Amino acid sequence: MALLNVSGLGVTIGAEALLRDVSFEIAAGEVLGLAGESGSGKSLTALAVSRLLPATATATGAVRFEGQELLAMPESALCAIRGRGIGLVFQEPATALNPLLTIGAQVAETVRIHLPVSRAEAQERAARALGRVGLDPARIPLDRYPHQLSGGQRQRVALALAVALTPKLLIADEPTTALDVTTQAQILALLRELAAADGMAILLVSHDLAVVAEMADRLAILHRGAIVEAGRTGSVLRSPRHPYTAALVRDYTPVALGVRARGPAASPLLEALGIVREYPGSRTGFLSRAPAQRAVDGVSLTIGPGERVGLVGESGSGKSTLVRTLLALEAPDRGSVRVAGETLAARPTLPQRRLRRLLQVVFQDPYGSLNPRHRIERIVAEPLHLLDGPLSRPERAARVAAALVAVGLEPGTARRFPHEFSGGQRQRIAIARALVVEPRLVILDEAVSALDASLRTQILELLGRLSEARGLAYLFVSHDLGVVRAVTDRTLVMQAGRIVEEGTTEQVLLAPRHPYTQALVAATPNLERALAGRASGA
Amino acid sequence: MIATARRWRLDAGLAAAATAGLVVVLAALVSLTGAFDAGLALNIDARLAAPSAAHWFGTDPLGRDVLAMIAAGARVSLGVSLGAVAIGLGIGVPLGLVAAVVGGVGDEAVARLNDLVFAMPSLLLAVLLAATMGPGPANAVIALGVFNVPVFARLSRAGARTLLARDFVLAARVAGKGRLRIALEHLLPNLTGLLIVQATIQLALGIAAEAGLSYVGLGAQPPAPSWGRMLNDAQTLTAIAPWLAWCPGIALSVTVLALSVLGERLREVFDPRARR
Repeated sequence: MALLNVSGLGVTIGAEALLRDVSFEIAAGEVLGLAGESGSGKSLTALAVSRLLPATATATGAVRFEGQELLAMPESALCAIRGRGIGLVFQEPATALNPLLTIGAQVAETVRIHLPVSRAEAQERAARALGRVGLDPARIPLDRYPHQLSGGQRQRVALALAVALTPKLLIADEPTTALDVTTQAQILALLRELAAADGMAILLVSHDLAVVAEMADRLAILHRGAIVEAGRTGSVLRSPRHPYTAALVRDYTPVALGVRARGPAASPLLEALGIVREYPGSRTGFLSRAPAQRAVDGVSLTIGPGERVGLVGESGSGKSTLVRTLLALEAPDRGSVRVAGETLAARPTLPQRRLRRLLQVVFQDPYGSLNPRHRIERIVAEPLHLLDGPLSRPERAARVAAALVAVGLEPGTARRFPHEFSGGQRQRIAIARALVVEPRLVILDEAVSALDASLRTQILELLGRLSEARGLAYLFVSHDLGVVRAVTDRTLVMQAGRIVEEGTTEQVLLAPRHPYTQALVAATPNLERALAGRASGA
Repeated sequence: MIATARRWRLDAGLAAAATAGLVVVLAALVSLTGAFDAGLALNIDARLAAPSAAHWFGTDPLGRDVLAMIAAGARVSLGVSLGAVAIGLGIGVPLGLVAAVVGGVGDEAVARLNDLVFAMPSLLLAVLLAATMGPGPANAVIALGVFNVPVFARLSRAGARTLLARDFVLAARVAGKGRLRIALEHLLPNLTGLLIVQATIQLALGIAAEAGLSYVGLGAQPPAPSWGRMLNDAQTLTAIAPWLAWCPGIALSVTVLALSVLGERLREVFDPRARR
């Protein structure tokens, strides 16, 4: 008998059917991967199985755990199963823990709710659970608060909470998506270890095919609220039967743009010389402060005309601070930024405007980078402010229309507001805004990180076309090595505010020399490698 | 259960909007048409008449129609409170926006000045201000308006500071826009919802405060009717003519309540996090 049996599960909110006829089984000790793009209903399935759906949602069908029907069960009986029989881990470790309780108290609380044990014994069990997830109480005492831990450590605490009572099933919803790749690799290894030791089954929800390929025994692909394909992980990913699965697999690995060989440029377009950026330390007392933090520590780089450069590094490496300094949004504490040989300053004077016209930016979050109160025409036209004189109304409209067409949008969309567009379309609008003044260099700050694989492919292809047609140079800032490998000629690796390795993309990512780059490359999930690691047919 | 609760809440919001609208219509009728002028004339023969078909809310010791006085009082209350909110918006919002975009010492100065004004007992000081400048509606507007300034300055400064970190503001800076242009084009439009909500709440507080000022004789001067002074005048007559106290009291409470509920509802409309 299967440990978890889901049959004909449907979820509706209002009149909208978000999940239709979802059926799957998980045997004891088995790992089932649930993959799909955003909005496909992955998380909803995980929530429905654990009966944690929002009050406005209705679930139909049957969810049986060890033969008990969960959907019909009263909440009080469910509480005994959640935590004890089914453990849960979610994406965001920052919000999964109570900020006012020490990590020891949180784990001990879970133990005491489910088991008739003394306070001391619960503490003892909490210490053991935290030790199992790699938070040795000797190094990280039980009286630490969540804010004193890193993201990876917090996710370990969340995991300790979930496995403290050795549940038979762990539901993990994007458990590593908010983490850096090296931390992700550690957490995934830990999950595997725990599952093997306890014989625990896992329902692993992830958008990342390489992650499920590494972890899951079987795989179900969700698309628009229905399972389109299910089977052994290896066979589903190696020879997908459903066209949607095939597209997912194809889009997972970004299409390479082709190497563009360029001799050393006569004059660099962008030059950063010894950039240092410090932040005042946090207050440690009423009057005292911790020493200043160096977010960027002596970074120099050059980008020539038409060059496509990648900048990779994990969160906290100083990438974003460097980008803001390159754009002169923040002044460097030391060093300077030169565009076309002239120093870029923060004040928008007339000669500065001419420099700024050469340099534009696309940010990560397509929902935050467009003013919700402005129409598209106004948003896209904003950088035209950098031109020497104001344009006439028809000239303006013509340039906006041309920019929209260049990114594959109808010129008629100009009259609409951002909320009428999807995430991918919004990112196109942000690119149109960057292109409208015909810059020579565009900084793409994690510009495709928030997008699903299929949209990412479209945007990358668009950027490739634009760089060919206009001789645009890119600085492609990303934590995603696969994307950087596909679309850049040269790569810089940043760690703790410094550039630790630099070279052609091929050389840096295929034969890394610096230990940090090597660790980064090794930790990055790789679909081909994960599939190659499986026995054929598995 | 949930559905009925929702409907009730919706009705409360509509009722609040309708009541507030009625007060505005009353005030407008008084100003524009003079509809209640006849009722405000002295008529000693009809003094202290109980509520009847001719005088719905009865008459006062001078024979004036209480309904007409409440309508005329609505105009004073609303006028003073609106004026005070206008002062708060007109000075507070630019101050808060400039503080947020300028940063540094200027920002700190505005923030501490706000704290200073907040630390004062506002109604007492409004009484003091009105007393030193002389009683009257214009001075009441100033006395109440001064204390609206830090409310709006603080709100717009806090709102602007969160918006300043958003990517679309960074994009505007990359597009070469100056700080003041960004404040006008990007910050202000995204703050309007917040400001409308706060303005509604300050309007309610202002009406209550104006009633307080005129109760102690520092608001509108006789013979102009006002809710606060009607309450004061009614004190000695509550035993023989209770409607004199009840009518302005209820008008005041209902108006303040309606505006507060309206403000709360608008907050839910403008703040997606409060929406269910």
